[in-house]
Amino acid sequence: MKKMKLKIIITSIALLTISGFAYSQWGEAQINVSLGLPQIALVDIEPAINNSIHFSVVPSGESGNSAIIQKSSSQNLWINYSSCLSTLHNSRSILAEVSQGKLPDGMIFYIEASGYSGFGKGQLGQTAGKINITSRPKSIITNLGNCFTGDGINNGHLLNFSLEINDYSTVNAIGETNFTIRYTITDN
Amino acid sequence: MQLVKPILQYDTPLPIINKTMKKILCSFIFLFVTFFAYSQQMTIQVDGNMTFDNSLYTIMEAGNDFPASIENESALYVSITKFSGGNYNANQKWKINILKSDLIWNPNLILEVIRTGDGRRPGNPGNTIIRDGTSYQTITNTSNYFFSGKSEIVNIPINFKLSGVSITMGAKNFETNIFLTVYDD
Repeated sequence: MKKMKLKIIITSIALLTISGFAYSQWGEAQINVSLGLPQIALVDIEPAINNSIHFSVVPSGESGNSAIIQKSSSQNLWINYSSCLSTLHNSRSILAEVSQGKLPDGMIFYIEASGYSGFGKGQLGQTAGKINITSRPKSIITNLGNCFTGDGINNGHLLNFSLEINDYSTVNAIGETNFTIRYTITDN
Repeated sequence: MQLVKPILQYDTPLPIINKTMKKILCSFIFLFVTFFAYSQQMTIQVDGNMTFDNSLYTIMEAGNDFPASIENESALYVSITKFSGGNYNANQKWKINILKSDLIWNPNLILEVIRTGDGRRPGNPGNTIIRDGTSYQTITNTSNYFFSGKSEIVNIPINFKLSGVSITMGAKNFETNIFLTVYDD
């Protein structure tokens, strides 16, 4: 009987000591932290100092041959973009169009975006191939999701430009002509 | 004539408290007193809320990601005060642990906390006794020691820093709850 009572005493002390330590927590305060990431859709052409491309159309040295089109500037242009989509949209595209000026008659202007390279991350876009650029917007890069290409040259997609004569009957001897290409990033 | 004999009722006699029982009772009383002395001496309160506003997440140049890390613009203030109605020891030491419990979160997001000031003693001049927590530490989902002090201290400024935010997470909202717990030290 004595042993039993002693056990009860020891157990009680142990239990209450444990409870005492468990309850040495006195109080608690809560802070709610929230952040919202906005939708982002930015596109840019680099190096941005002078994004002009020059073509010259010169006659061939031999009669009967077609005219020769030379790209007289050797500058490489890169397209950079940042894209942050809401869950409502799956992907975006980059469109190109002639926004100012007019292509010379009888000529076709093409843009081909290369495959992605650089230090970006995420679902980067895919090239749409060699695209005939007109005043109507057309996709040159497709299927880009939440991503960034990295900023500056050697990041993003290198743009390849070409000019071709498709109808000699409408080609006229003109002086210098200018046209501007606009790039737009858009939700699919 | 019949005599009615009155019936006397007696209550059951109280159990006799023997020596051993007294010991048990004394132990209980002593431990309950100790327990109440320990319980609810100090309480913690935080003033302010924290939102990493989406205006902080802007990109000026195409091709870039969101900023690598952002600190919240205004501090939050922690106050450790005596619990009203409780026993209070003016030299009571305490410590604060911190943890987070995620509601909508991304494992790449890193939330850090820092104590940027010592606070002040309520109504009393003089320096506060407070230590640790003065360099950024990551808040995890398990409780970790943050800082400790002695006696009542109010308006202890704390700041938060969020890093790991990326455009690749998409345009979403994220939310977590931070718990600061004051313990007997």
